[in-house]
Amino acid sequence: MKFILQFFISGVAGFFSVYVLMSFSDVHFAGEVTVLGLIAISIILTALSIFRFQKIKLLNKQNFSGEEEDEVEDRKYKMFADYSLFANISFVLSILALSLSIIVTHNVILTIASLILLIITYFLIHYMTRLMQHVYPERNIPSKSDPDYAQSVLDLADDGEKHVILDGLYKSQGLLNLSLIIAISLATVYSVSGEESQIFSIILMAIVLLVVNGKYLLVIRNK
Amino acid sequence: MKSRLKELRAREGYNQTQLAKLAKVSRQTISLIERGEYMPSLLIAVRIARIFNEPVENVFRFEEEEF
Repeated sequence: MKFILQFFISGVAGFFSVYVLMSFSDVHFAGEVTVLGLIAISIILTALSIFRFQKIKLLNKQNFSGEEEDEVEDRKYKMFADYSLFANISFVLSILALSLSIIVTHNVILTIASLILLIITYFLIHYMTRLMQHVYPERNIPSKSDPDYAQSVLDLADDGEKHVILDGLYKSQGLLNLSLIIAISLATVYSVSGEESQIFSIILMAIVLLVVNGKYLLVIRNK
Repeated sequence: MKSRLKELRAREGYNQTQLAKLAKVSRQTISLIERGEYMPSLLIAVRIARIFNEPVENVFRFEEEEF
């Protein structure tokens, strides 16, 4: 029920933000509607992640014991995961909105709105370290400025957490490979069918595929 | 592998969070062990067994075919 309420409030915020943008920018064609849609979804997800952030801070101020303490710890963990998911999706959608507004729409207001949203979502992702400190107050979370930040965070995880991370990463690695191969195939079909050539993006996707798999296999090989 | 973690926690009156702090692991790890989704390292298994004052084999039980 709370999620529905949060989603409704976020939806209203997203609707009004986009409505204001539409009023000040002259929306003419599908490209602009797409960018506005991306901005709206991004705003909704940003608002939902801020709700999660506030809820975690609120839970941290209260004391719980017994089974309730375990339930609250579980909720905090899930809310942190939701926050990360929403912030990351919002960040990617903002990048997409910015790219489309620069390439397709040439609409300055939409470009500025996408850029502002991109900056906000970047800070949301950057703030994850602070939020992690709220979820795991007993741990010494490294600073984002730490040159070896990713390794330091991994080192903080215990065996069980590493088991969960490995499971998630292994599945996403497989999904990334499959998605990129499908994307290359689709881009090839699109190019051959007489539409604009996608050769540059095909080469980029192939490089990403090579780098990701090369890095993974080198780590495995050298252990 | 089956563990008696839940039963032993109830006996000693610990919740998962308290046991996790005593065993120097995360609550998530305790939860995974209890659900049988993760087999702990020898070090963690011994730490947990010591908390309950039990031999390791009384806390973690294996089926014969697992050996």
